[in-house]
Amino acid sequence: MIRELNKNAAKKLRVYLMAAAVLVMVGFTHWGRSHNIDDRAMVHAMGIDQDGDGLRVSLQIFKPDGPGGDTAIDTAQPNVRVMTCRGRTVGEALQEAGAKAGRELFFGHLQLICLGEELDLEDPEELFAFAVKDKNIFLGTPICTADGTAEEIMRVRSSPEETAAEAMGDLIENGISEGQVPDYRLIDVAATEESGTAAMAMLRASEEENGSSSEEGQGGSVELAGTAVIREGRLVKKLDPEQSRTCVLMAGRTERSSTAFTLGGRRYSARLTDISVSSRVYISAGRPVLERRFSLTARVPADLHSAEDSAAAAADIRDRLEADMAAAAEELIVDRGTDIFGFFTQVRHSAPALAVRYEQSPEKLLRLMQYRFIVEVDVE
Amino acid sequence: MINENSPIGRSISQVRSDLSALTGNSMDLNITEADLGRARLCVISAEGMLSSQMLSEMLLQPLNDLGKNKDLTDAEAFDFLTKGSLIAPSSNTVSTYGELLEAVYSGFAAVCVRGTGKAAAYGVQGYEKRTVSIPENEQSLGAAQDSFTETLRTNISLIRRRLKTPRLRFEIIKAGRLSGTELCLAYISGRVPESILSDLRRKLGSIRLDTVLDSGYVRPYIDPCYGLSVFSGTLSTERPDQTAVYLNEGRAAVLIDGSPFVILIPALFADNFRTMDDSCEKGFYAAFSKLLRYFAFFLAIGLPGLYAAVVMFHPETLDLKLLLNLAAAEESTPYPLTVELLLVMVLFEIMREAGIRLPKTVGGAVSIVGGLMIGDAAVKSGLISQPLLIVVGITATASFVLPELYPAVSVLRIVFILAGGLGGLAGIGAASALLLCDLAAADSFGIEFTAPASPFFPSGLKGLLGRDSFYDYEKKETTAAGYSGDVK
Amino acid sequence: MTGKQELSAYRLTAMMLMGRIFAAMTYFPAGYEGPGTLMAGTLLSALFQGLLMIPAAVLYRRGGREVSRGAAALYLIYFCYEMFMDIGGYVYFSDFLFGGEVRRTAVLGALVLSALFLAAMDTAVLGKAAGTVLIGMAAALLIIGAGAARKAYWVNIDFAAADPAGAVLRAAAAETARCECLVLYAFLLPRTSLSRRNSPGRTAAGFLAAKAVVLETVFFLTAAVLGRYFYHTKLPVFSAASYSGGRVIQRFDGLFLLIWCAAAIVKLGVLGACARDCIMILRPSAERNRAAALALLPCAVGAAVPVLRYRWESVVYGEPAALVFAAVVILTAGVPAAVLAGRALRRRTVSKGVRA
Repeated sequence: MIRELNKNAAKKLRVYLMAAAVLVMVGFTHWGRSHNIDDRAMVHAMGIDQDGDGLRVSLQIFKPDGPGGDTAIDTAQPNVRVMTCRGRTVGEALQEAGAKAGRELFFGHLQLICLGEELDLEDPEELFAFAVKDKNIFLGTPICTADGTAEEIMRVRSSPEETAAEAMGDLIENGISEGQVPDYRLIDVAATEESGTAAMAMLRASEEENGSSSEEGQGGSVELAGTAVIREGRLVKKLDPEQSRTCVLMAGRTERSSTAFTLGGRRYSARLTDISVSSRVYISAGRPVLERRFSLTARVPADLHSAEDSAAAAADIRDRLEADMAAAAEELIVDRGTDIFGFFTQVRHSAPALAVRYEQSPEKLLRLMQYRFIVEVDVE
Repeated sequence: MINENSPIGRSISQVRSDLSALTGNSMDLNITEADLGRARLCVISAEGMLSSQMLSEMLLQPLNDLGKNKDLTDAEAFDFLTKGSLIAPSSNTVSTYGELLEAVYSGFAAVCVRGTGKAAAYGVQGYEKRTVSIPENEQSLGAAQDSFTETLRTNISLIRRRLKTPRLRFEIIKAGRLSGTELCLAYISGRVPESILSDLRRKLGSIRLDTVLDSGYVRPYIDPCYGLSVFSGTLSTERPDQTAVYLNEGRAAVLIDGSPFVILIPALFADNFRTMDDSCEKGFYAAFSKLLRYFAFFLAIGLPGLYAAVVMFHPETLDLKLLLNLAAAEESTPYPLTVELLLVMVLFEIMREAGIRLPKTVGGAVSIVGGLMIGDAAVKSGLISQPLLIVVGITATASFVLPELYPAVSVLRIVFILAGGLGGLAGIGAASALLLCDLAAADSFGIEFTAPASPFFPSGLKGLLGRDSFYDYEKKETTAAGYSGDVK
Repeated sequence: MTGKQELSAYRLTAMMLMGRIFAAMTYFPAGYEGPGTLMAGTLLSALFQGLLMIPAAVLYRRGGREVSRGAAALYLIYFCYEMFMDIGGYVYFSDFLFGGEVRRTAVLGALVLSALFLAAMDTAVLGKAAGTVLIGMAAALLIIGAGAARKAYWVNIDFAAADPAGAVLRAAAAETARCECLVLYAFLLPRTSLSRRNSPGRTAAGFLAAKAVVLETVFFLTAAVLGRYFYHTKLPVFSAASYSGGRVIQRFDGLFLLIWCAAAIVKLGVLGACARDCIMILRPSAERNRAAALALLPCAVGAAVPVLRYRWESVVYGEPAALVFAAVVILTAGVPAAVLAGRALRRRTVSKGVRA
């Protein structure tokens, strides 16, 4: 009986211990910092420009107390503000911004990071340290370059229907899914750190005719201006939209694209879908060869319905794509040493021994390699 | 010194004086003396406990007829009462004052004959009792609409009518030194392990309270998880059909005289999610309802805490538009979200308590005041935000889906609000782990509380997620004891 | 609460699996050289671990139902070491998961108190809880995987290593060193109720197969999704979870955090319960709650010193892998093999004596 009582007492002690554990946890964690949601300033988009020896950071911040802030996002009124701050590093600039905003900056819903054309990207790890170390920032946040300054892009208020950040974010996401611009995100900074190269979408801002501007931003629009190729921290090449599409296709990770072809002296456009890519690396005549085979379906205008037209269109598309790819490989890899297509990753996957041999100087291998692009087009 | 264990006196005057001394001349004890032939006797009864008509027809009339025999002796009269007649279906012979008064206060009429030192007691109860009505707390759409009452024998009959097998047994155990409450242990012989029955008999017999007035007085003695877990190892029901189902499944039931709630043992966690409507609907709908109840349980416990955790610690997981709406809504409120949640939950519990205690005539006013106070004025004044109100509303509605678990849900909800509001999702994870382990450790009379999920019994899976088909019921005899495979 | 629950094959396997998957969800073995070699090493390690588990299974079949005092002392040291690493690791890595919003003292206090509550429970009960947490883990990993699948690029998986064979062997050794689940098997098997259907061999095979499948999937998906970031992050699975998302829940790092914390507490509870059992073997008169406290609290204090002084990184990445590997091999295979050898020697001695 006494043993049973002792057992019950021991069990009760455990129950009290559980209650104590919960209470202590509650008490202890309260000494930490939990934030009410209205104590945070939500940053939608961010622009980083070079400012002499330091950096100039522009932030688009949601204004819940502004017009349109009382219930849902008011589609008729702007409810963001743009804040600019300076510092030697991005972290310093953000500290200044936080002090200005009077709240904790929250980057959990950062839609876009835009880098100014002149920004030095030699040490991306240091530049993006604020983002990589912040668990709030989404690793999939798109990073793009501005054709001009990032601050101009941040200050654009594209339309009353949505915040500029959402508009730019959607523009880039759409461009990525349509194969117009490369998919470059925060998670890819690690690869850039290793290889020293990057290819990212380029945005261009255009003002409205009245050139109006305010704290909320200036009227205008933003468009995709192609792709910016970065090497060793510097912008080395701007690819126009057509070149940009070719390079995105070459990288082998897009499911859709578009191209133009000529038939009977007339120029048509074709939508490329069902894109599948296979690659292999082999040695031919003592030289490593990377062969990339593309199989895709081209949807041509409906008036080209005859078999001859389809065949001619397929041939033209194939020849054009193969030629463009070869030219892009020649210029970007052989001449400039910028592997923006993930070729070295492919070599690492397909021929690991070869990759290990050139681990310290991958551009040497890439310049040595031959590239074969085989495109099979099925016209629909 | 006369006490309850003293034998009944041999003379009627002695009986009268002894009873007066024992009861302090209580006005509700009626003693009517009579001489029948040469026999002298007295009829003892309690005020308001008898049916006058039954007393008159079943006892007094036969006695009067007997009294026409002028030569009737005391012994003959006592023989007539105890052996020579069938006066009432329920009768017994008592020999001490304690037994006599217990019978009289249970609605029996006792006849004491001079010289015998005994009394014959007959059940002619006619006290006021509530009629069988619809269940207040466990309503259903398709199942029976009767419920237990406060009268033990009525409840016994409600069960007996549903289980006509001779294997259904009822055992009476008395508890309560002053109340002398009858507890009835009901079971189907051969279905319940004898170890559980003997354990129950021992525990019920060990109650040393002065009064046992309700099922809540008995539960601490027989619920193995009482004080050790937020969940109970017993079930409480006011439905006779539900009781019959559980008796058939090898559980025992404890009926308490004076309580319309029957305690069922052993109980599993999954039993809290069963209703009689499961048997009345088609299998697919029963499964749908069952899953809905499980979901309601998680909503009731976890939604406010998750809401607080996500909004305060992990707002990045929410959709941007939703987050902006929440931010705008919270902008005008003065208190942190955790405080708002606790405030509203406490207010809700106050209103719920008020709704239970208030007379029905003013109950509607509480709804109006509550709705106005919380629903309208509090939001418009900026005390709380609208999204929070939606969360609380969903939580409150979900918690009413499982009335049996309401006490546990109410407390756990507060714990999860604190855990989530102050520790984020890590706090929720930690609280969940502790709750899980508490649940895992519980067992009810040797049967693990989480059976048939763990230990896993494939035969119980269908019932866990929905309902066994009636063809399956025909084939197998599922008993709770069948889930005790792992416990020694 | 009234009866003693049984430790079944499923509960034992659940505890082992949950612990190992938790470790994988936290961080990958230090010094891994690439996803391909890591995955190959894991498979090789599974075969090696199968061999290690044989002596314990044979001992069980031959009626070995008790752990001797000497063995209990060795197991106690190991379990205390693992608790020390888990407590410190949990507090250290929670910084990355919470973003520094909660203080380390708070995290440590809450973890230890919760684990203390669990460490006083039966291992069978903890096995049951581990089973449920395991199901939650599997569901969470599936959801995370589904959310990240469209971002996976299998070309990111490579076998590029200066010494591929050596890298695979090193990965196999590192994987074995992280498997305290093997030691749990050897320690808890004697008190497990097994049947012909769930024999020790089948239990071990089932565990190894399940572990291999889960780990390979986790490694594959993480590497395929993260690309080069795989080599730069301390918490690969968490990074993959925060990169994955869906329509309703934008990101799954919150889900990861929820299940990770629950798993950490249950795992620590399991280790604490095993250490408590060791103390009670060494000192049968010890009271259960006190034994659990005696097992857990010194480890917590020991871990608190480096982790609260922000020196834990050198501990977690400077773990003496070779020593831990040796400990796992000895405790999993060595101790049961020694018991079997001892019994065989005794039988031979007795039969020689009888013949004489």
